[in-house]
Parts: sequence; structure tokens; C-alpha cells
Amino acid sequence: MNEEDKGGRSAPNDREDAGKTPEERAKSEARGVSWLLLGGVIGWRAITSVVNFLRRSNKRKVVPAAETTREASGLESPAEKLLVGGAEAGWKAVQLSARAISKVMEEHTRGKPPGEISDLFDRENDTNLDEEEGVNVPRRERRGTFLVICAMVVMFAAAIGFMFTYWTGGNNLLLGGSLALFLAGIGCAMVFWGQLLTVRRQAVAPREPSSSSPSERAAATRAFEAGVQDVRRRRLLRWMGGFGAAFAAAIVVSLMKSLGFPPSAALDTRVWIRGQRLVSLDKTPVSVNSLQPGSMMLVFPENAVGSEKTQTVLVRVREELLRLPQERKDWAPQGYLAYSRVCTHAGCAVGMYETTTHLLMCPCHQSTFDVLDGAQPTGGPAARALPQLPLYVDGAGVLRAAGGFSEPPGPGFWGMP
Amino acid sequence: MSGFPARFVDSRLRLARITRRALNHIFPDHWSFMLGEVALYSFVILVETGIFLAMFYKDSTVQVIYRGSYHALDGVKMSAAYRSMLHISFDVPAGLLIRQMHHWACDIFIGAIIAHQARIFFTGAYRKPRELNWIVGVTLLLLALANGYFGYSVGGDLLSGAGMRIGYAIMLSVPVIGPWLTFITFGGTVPVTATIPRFYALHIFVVPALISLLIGAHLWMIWWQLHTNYPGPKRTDKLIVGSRLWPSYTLKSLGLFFLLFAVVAMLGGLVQIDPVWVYGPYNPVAILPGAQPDWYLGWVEGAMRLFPGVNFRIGGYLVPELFWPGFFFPVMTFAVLYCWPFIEKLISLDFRPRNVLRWPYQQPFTTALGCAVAAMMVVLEFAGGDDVVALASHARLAAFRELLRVLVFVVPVLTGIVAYLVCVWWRRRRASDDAALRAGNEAVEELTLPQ
Repeated sequence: MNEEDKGGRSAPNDREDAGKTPEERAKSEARGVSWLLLGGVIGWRAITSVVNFLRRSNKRKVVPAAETTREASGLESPAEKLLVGGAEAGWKAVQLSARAISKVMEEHTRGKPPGEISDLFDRENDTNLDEEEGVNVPRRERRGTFLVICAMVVMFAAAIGFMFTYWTGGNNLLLGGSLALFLAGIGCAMVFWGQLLTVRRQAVAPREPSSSSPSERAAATRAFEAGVQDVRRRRLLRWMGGFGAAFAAAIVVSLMKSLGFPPSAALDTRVWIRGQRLVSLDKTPVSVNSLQPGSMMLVFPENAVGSEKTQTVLVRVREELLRLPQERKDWAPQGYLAYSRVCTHAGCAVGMYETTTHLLMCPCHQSTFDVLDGAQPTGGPAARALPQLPLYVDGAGVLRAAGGFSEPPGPGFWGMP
Repeated sequence: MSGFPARFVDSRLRLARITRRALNHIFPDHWSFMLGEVALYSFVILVETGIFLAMFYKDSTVQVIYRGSYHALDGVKMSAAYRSMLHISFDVPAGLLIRQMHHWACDIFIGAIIAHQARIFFTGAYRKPRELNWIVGVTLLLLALANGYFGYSVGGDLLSGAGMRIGYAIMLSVPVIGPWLTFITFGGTVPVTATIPRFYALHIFVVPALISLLIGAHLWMIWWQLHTNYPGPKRTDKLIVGSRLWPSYTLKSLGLFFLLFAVVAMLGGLVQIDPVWVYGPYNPVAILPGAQPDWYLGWVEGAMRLFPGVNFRIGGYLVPELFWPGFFFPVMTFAVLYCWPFIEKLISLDFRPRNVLRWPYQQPFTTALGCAVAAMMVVLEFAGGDDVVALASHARLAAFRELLRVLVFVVPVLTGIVAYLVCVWWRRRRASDDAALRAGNEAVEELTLPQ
């Protein structure tokens, strides 16, 4: 992380190959070539195995069973020849770029020798902390070259893999995996290059003060105030500017109307109208025999089936259990109770009913409402009861609304009655 | 390097001096300075993948019948938006990969912003002269959270519909202006056809444009002011130590970009995220038990679950129970974040410009407070999924929730006390080393700086 800590002192600045004999150079080159060969073999194996794998997975998909015998006989179709030719061309490209890399690297690392410390603020005088004692710099650079080449081989192989997978309609896993390998190859090559193949230096520079000097500040103020004086003299212009800004604001505020308000009418609604029949999701009217005590169903007014705001939960309980307040005594004929299904807390659908405890529960924040006493909240974060729908049974035995909900359904708002 | 293109441009724009200065710009080497870059580069990935997705996504709630290659939903009625999501996931080549990469990049984006901000907070990098950049950064976090919410709201699936419904309820609960604000934003009582096109416009245009602008301001400020340094030899308020932009920092930073991109591609390809086809299309009467928002809004969700059901009226007007945890608490959190550099000045009484960071132990109170807030967020995050946790651990939800209501206060206090004690102990242990470093750096400043 912190090269500076390893030595604030400035050590001698030998370039790594300054004192090398030709034999040593030849030896290191030979070693480089052998590394290259090893990398090449690994890369080639990677490419061929990816290609084989993809070819096999692809074959299973498109080639009819009768033709599979041809697969064993080697390279037959032009597509396969193209593929292998492409892989070979890719490998050639790898070789060429590896050669280019080593050449660039050789030139790049032969930097200028550091000069005398004269100008603290430029890069020639950065403290060069590269010469950590005991670190074999040529070895580091050989390792760096090898790693960069490996990363690039992976990159090329993955790019070919991605192309092949994409053009043959491959799946998400292979696409993501090969894209990731390709990008990781680029990223690793860059990081290895930056960390191992460049001269690592630490620079020190002075900081500017965080604020302007008093004289600069005074000059800026003077320039501004001179302009202010000019504007002030033209009083009409100032008034026009002021009015212009006010009207611009007024226009922007007016345009808000297009976005949709005032909202009070849409929010303050009781949804149901007296006399509407209760119908189920498939639009069949609900009769007094529709539910057994202890069961529940989803109902709507007959003109708004499937709507969010009108959804109502109908439960039937044994009449002797009811604890409704006095003024709601006749809202629940034969133990049928209807409540808004929109949670008063955050507006989710209160879709769960627990028969034994007579509780309605909202799946979003787990508020519970007791159906026996007007759906008062008994647990969870809700504070207000679910609005209740008064019911009556008509002559044909069908359940109808005896009016609207007791309150507007849904979560609370400022101005809610 | 004085090739033709460079000469061509320079003979018109006179860029040589500014280029030289830029190439020589110094960046500190500490790894924690890369957290902000991770955030920056995830935003780049978000824009790139987002452009691809925008070519196929349809911001319409027109009801259609699905006839695509995902047979489980064949013949199902759904919005055109949701159909286009299925189309991207199953029929566009590499569509699922890009969509999942987009979602993963969003999670990494927000995670990196929070990590970056925590680094800034615990090392005191927000002190003078960098308070303005802290404010820009907090705004960026806010915009990122908002855009994450807009992004997963436009999916048209059941989960995003639930999220939109809850967001609507939160906004509606604001006293006085709530209903108006809600109607201006959502275009009516949710579910309404206006909402998805609006959120889409905000998601792909308004908020990204603001984020880009503010990132520009953020980077310009730190470029102009120079980075801070961690304490160390030669790192003083008047000197900066690090590596030059060219070539070491450039290679490191671009390498980071590609490696991050690789991680995102790997996650997008191999790890499923937000499988909209599992939830099904949004249907106002359907329920989805065990639903949670994305993790970065989990703390608000947790607060909403833990807050007791208390509502009251002011002069006959209702203040719903949802207002306090859903709106007031996040707004206050961000208000404190915005004001923190100035609040901290009142505590530390330190008004001088600071270019050297402090280690967390050097300001125990701030560190303890930060740890306490972080602990509270973790508890709230758990509370946001308390039904799932309770189900998995066979606990009774009501009891578990009561426990969390206690823990949400107890855990932060304990964490804060422990953090404070550790800091004090550590500061005492390091006292002589810190003094030596300070003395050494004063000597360095006198030697190197022109008087």
C-alpha cells in the first residue's frame, strides 16, 4: 500500500539491466521464450477446450440425431473450419501482441535517470522508492510480463467464447461467465502492468491554501460590485428582472396542475353505493349461502370488479361471537361482515384470514385486524380499523351494500375525515 | 507523444500546460480511496447497461395478453411494461445478462457510496475545506436511493407494484402537502396508468442527469482541492504524497474499472437477481407474503414495521402512523447527514482547514456515534425482514418484533459505548507514536516548503 514507509531515504537508482552482459541478456530472453511457450500451451488448451465444450453443447441443440455420426469424423462443416481457423488466428494475435508487449515494456522501463533535486514539484524528482533492497527488479518485470500475457490470453479466449456463445444463442451463464473473464483479463492485465511493469514512484507536492488571498478576494468583490452599480442605476431593468422571475415561478407552479391535483375528491370516497350487489372475482353475485362460518372471500361492487380501491373482504362468523359497536349492530346480517381489503397502514391488500382467531392479516407489515369488533387493529403497525361496509340481504337472498364504507378506504392522509 | 492529433488539438485549444498539470496530478495510494471510484464506475456500468435496456423496455400499463417464450405465463393478462421485462429476460439475446448486470450494478453502486461515505465519516475527511463535497456526496446518495426505487418500481411485476403502493402511502401521509405532493408525483390514486411513465422518465433521464452533474461537481472539487492523506511521514496539511496520475494511477484505476465490470458481469451471468417472472404481473388484489424492498431501503421498511400504531389529529387533521417511520425518520436521517460537518465543528471546536485524515480512534465521540448509527441501521434492516427471520427461526413474529423494538435502541447504545472505550484505549496506546509523527512532520514542513 504504502511504499513511502519502506524508506523515506533515497537509495541509488540503478536500472535493472544497466550492468548486464550479453550472455545474461540472452539467457533471460531464452527464459522469456520458454515462459511464452508455456503460456501459449495453456492458452491453446483453454481455447480448444472452450471451443470443444461449446461445439458439443451447440451440437445437441441444432443437429438432428441422424447427423451426429459426422461429429466424430473431425472437421467437416465449413463452420467448424472457420471456427478452428479463427482460433488459430486468435493465437497468432496473442503471439504478436505478446511480442509487442515485451518490446514496449523494454522501451518503457528504460526511463530517464533522475536528475538533481532542483524543482520539488515536477515528476523528475519524485522520490523513487522502486529500489527496495532485496527486491530483484528484473525478476519482478519478468513475472509481470508473464502475468500480463496470461491475462491477455484469458481475455482473447473469453472474447472468442463470448462471441461463439452469443452467435449460437447461448445461455445466460456462459454469456456472463465469458464476459466476466474477458473483462477480468483486461483489468488484470492493466493492474499487473501498472503494479509490476512501471516504475513505482511516490511524489510529494505542496498544497495550495484552501482560500483565496485577501487581495484576490477584494479584487473579485470590486469587479462584482462595479457591475452591481451599473445594474442598480437602471431601476426599470431591475424591476423587470424581478417580475420576470416571479412570473417564471408562477408559470412553473401552474404547470403542476397538469401533473394532477387537487386530490381531495379522489381520496375522500366511500366507494360503495347503497343497493349494489356483492359479486365475486368471476362476477357471480354472493348469496347468504355462499360462505360457511369461519371462511372468507374477495368481493367487489358489481360495476368495479378487480379494482384496487373497491376490493372488499367478506367473512362469515357465528353471530353470537360478534362484538360490533351498538350503531353497527345491523351491519352484519347472518354473521356476514365486509371490510375494505386495503390496509389502513400502507395500502397493501389485507389478504390473509386466520379462522381460529378471527384475525385479518396484511402480508406487507403484518398488521392484524379483529373482524369481530369492526376490524380494530390488534397488532402490527396499523393504527386505524379497516373501514366496514354495512350489508343487508335482499328478497332473493343476495347480499347488498347498505351504504358506503364507514371511512374512506386506504392509508391515512391529512384531511381524512 | 507529439503526434499529429495532439499537435492538431493543441494548436487550437492550447492544452499543453493543463495536460501536463493533469498528468502530474497526485493521488494518494491507500486502497480506501478506491471506494468512491467503485461507485463512479458502477454508475458508468449502470448507464451502459441501462441504454441497452431502454431499447427494449416499454413504459406502458396498457393491458396485453402475453404470448412469448416463457410458457408459464402464456395467455396471462399483464401490462405492456411487464411484457417487455419478460421479453428482455427471455427473448432478447443477452437481455437477461444485461438486465441482471444492471440490477447488480445498482446494488454495488449504492453499497459503494455507503462504504465510501463511511470511510469519509470515520476518517474525518468531511472537515474544512471539504464540507461542500460532503453535501454533494449526501445528495448523490439520496439520488441513488431514489433512482433505485424508481428503477424497481417500473418493472410492472407484483413486487414492484407493492413497493409503489407503499411509497405512495408514505408520501400521502405527509401532513398538509402530502396529498398534493402525491398526486403531482404519482398522477392520481395508485394504481394509475400515469405512474410508470413518470417514474421511467425520472429513472432514465432526470435523476441520472442530476447524478452526472453532481458527480462532475464532486470530482471537480476534489481535483481542485487535492485529496486528503492518511497520517504518515511527510503527510501534512501543506504537503500531499501519492502517485502521479500518469501512468501508475491511470492503469490502476482503469484496471479497477474492468475488474469491477467483470464482477458485475459474473454476478449478472451467474447469480439470479429480481426474477420478475416468478412474482407474476402486478395485480391489485394479489398478495405476496414475505416481500421486502431492496436492501438499501430495508431500514425504512424496518422502521415502518417497528413503529407502534399511533396516529393523532391536529385541529381535526390526521397525522397517520406511517408518517413518522416512513417519512420523518428518513428525512431527519438525511438532515443530520447534511449538517454533520457543521454539527461536528460544535463538538470538536476545530475550525481550521484539515488535509490530513485522522484515524477513527483520534475522535472517539464521532466514531462511537457513527458505529451506533450503523448498528441501528443493521437492526432496522433485520426488522425489515422480520417476518422472514421469524419464519426461518420458528419464532413468534409478535414476540420477535417486541424484542427488536428493544434492540433497536439497546444495540446502538452498547455499540457506541464499546466503540468509545476502544477508541480511548487505542488513542492512549498510540499517543507517543502520534506525537513523534507530528513533530517529525513539522520538521519536514519547515525544511521543504518555501517560507
